[in-house]
Amino acid sequence: MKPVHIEFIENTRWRWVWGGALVVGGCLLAYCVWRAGQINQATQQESARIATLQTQLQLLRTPAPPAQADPRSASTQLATQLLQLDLNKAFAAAENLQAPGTRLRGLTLEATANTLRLEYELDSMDKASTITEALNTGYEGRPWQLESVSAATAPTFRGQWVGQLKKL
Amino acid sequence: MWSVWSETVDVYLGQGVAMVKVGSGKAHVLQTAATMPRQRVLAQLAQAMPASRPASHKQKHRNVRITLSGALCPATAFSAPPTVTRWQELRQIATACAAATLCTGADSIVCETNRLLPAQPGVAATVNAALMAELHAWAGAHRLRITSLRPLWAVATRSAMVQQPACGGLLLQEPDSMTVLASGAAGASPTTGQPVAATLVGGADPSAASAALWSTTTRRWLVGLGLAEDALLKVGFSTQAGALLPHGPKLWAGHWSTHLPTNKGLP
Repeated sequence: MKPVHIEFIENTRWRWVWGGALVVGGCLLAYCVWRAGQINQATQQESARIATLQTQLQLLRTPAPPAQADPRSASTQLATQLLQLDLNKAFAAAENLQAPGTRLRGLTLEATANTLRLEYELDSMDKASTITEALNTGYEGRPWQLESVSAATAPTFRGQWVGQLKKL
Repeated sequence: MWSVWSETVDVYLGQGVAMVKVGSGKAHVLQTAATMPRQRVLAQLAQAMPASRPASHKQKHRNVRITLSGALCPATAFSAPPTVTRWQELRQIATACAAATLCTGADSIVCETNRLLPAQPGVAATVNAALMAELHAWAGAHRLRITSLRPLWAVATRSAMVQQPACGGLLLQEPDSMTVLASGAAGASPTTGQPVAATLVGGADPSAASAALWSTTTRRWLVGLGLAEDALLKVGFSTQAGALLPHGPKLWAGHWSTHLPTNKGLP
């Protein structure tokens, strides 16, 4: 037979037990919330520090933009570039050119364009191709090109050749 | 002070009989007339308490456990429809059933039931509301705190001998009443199949003729409830202390027996 549990007086002991458990649970919950807030704050600070370090690292990896050209440094740089040019080959080509009926009239160096311009006086139009072949002798890239031929004082002609110094 | 535990006072209250025991001391029995006002009975109980208290204990705070006899707290059975699931509704149904059984108004009684699942028949204990108020007033007047108030037949069902699977029901005879509780297939009413809980107010007379009449009355009462007397475990409760009943209830140990004692006369 099953026991019959009948009681007219309500047991208030469990109220204290549950009340105490509720208080303890509330305290634990409050502590957990406070602790979670602390951890969250520390995490955010750490994340911010990491982001700052990453930004600094990125700045270090990125090359600095070139400084604005200073007029003095630009002219110094141009002078340095010009002094580094090897004009022996260009002058050698002009000096070694022995074509009868031709005479060197001018030699112009254009440093900015890195080209050398030669002006010859020709006694005939045919000599233009001869000079062109003579200047390009030994070069596979044919650096010299006839730029123009014009009639000068009769019966001579003026021819201009331009050559890329880099290809010489 | 934490070092001084509160003494527990056990009180058994019946119709014309009362017992009080302080802690593990000897029980003090009071035999009173059934017509004596309750307040006088309780006053005599309060007077009996200091006499049974050992002098070495200091009175700090007292808890009192009151056990009511079947005459003051009869048992009734009730059943609720399966759709009733709320505990308050079950109590209201139990109160209505008890009021109908006892032929009294629902406002004049206090009813308590055992913890049930919905749609299960239950047992209800009923106490007169005036008696309940008198008990609380008496406790308050004598600096007592009622920690437990329950019927004796409910105490008996919580013993190991009653909870055996073979036990289909309990027939408890007290000095002023007889209570029968039957549940399960072994002890259920063959007529309705429902568990039975009922209290017959009155006790057997010590004389041989009245004892036979009481036995006949009891047998007819059980037959009327649809119960077989042989299927019930007969337990008696007496105001006289005796040998401890093995596997019996711990409360009021020594006052229980497995044979029905003969006490006062029939009503």
